[in-house]
Amino acid sequence: MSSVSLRVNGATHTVDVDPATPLLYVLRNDLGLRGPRFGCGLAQCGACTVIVDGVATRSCITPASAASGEITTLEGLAKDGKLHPLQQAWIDEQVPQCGYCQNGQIMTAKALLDRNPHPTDAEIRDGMEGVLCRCMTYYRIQSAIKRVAHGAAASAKEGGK
Amino acid sequence: MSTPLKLPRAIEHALRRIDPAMSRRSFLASSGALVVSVGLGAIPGAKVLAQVASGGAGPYPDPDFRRLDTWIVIHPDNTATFFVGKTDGGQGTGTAFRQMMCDELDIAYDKTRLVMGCTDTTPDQGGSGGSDAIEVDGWPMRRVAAEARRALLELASERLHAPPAELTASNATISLKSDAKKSVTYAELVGGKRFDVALTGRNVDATTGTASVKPVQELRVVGKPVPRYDIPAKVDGSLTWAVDMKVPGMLHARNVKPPVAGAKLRGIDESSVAKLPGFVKVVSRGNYVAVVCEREEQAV
Repeated sequence: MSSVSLRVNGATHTVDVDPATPLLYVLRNDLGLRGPRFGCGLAQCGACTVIVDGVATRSCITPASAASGEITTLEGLAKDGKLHPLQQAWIDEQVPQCGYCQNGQIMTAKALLDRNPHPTDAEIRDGMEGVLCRCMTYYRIQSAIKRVAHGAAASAKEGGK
Repeated sequence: MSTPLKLPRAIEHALRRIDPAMSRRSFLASSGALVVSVGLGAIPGAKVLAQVASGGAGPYPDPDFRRLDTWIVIHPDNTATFFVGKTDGGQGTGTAFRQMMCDELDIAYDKTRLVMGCTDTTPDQGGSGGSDAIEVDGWPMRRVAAEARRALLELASERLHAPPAELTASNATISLKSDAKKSVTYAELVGGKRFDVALTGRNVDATTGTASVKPVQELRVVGKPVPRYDIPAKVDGSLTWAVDMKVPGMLHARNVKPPVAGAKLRGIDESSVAKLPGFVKVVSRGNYVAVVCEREEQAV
């Protein structure tokens, strides 16, 4: 064990773990966060996604010691008690079914919109590729992203297709 | 009225610790077993479950589906909690059950809560699967809610000195058809108390009272697009999942599965894993083998 220092959702934490410990377990078990989830453990499903310095990162294979930048988790999106527009859009579009993967969907969408605020349908699909949802909520995810990027009208007109 | 049961202390402490500000707490402390089920089911948190597990059987180890009080509680604030024996994997059945029961009970959707599939506190309606929750399990829920409405009309009849046929129910309030000012709320009739009404039915699916359910034309909440109540907690990280369960001193284990079905365990060489970081022990019984470690990532 040794100490690893992490900056998560604006606060700095120092934890006593093996530096190779995947970031996911430190966030969930040492810091008590529940947004990022274990899905496959192999960076193939996206359920564990967090944002590190603006980049959607699969925390299940990222060593804690390698996450030296600013880490944002699902819990860190809401500001001053107000949901992030993506979270609100997720409610407005009634996106989740079981909800297990939705952390990864929302965090990946956040990183996508931060670098491209008005993506085309093709860019949404390209940017969200590889975040798996077994309930098949992809169309509603796309609608929710469009609602944020282009407004509710665009989402209602073209979403779900 | 039946005698209130004493609330197991461990459960009460767990509830207080989790949510000391909730208004139903005082209700909990002063009242009976039925009320315990409200608190327990309403907070499906890991801590509560752990407390229940360590404290033995819950107050309703086998909730009787032939009692109206098992299914519906009217609170002193004129809200209601429904207890049903199904779970919602995100298909929206919980929202739908609430809509169906609200219609039969004549109560606004946002004045109700639903507790689903808690083995200690809800009736046992079998497993949840097969896409038949609404088709099969919704029926007893509708019938018991209709029966609750009938029982309330009967109580109101005594209170308002008018036969039930001259009364009308809306928004958890019963009034005279001829004079809406003469009214009584559900809470004033049974808030915080038991209905003490027996139901019949050879099994849980057949559960019924004597009241008929409403014809489809009279349904007001059903058929409307109500937002699913489970979604907000699924988008902000606040929902507690089974995988979020934490208990004091918790260890983590990985099941070791055989390479083929029907394989028999011949032996375990514990020294092959004993030097792994965080290793605690190998657990085995019959053909079952698991490796226990201190931390989750060490076990997986």
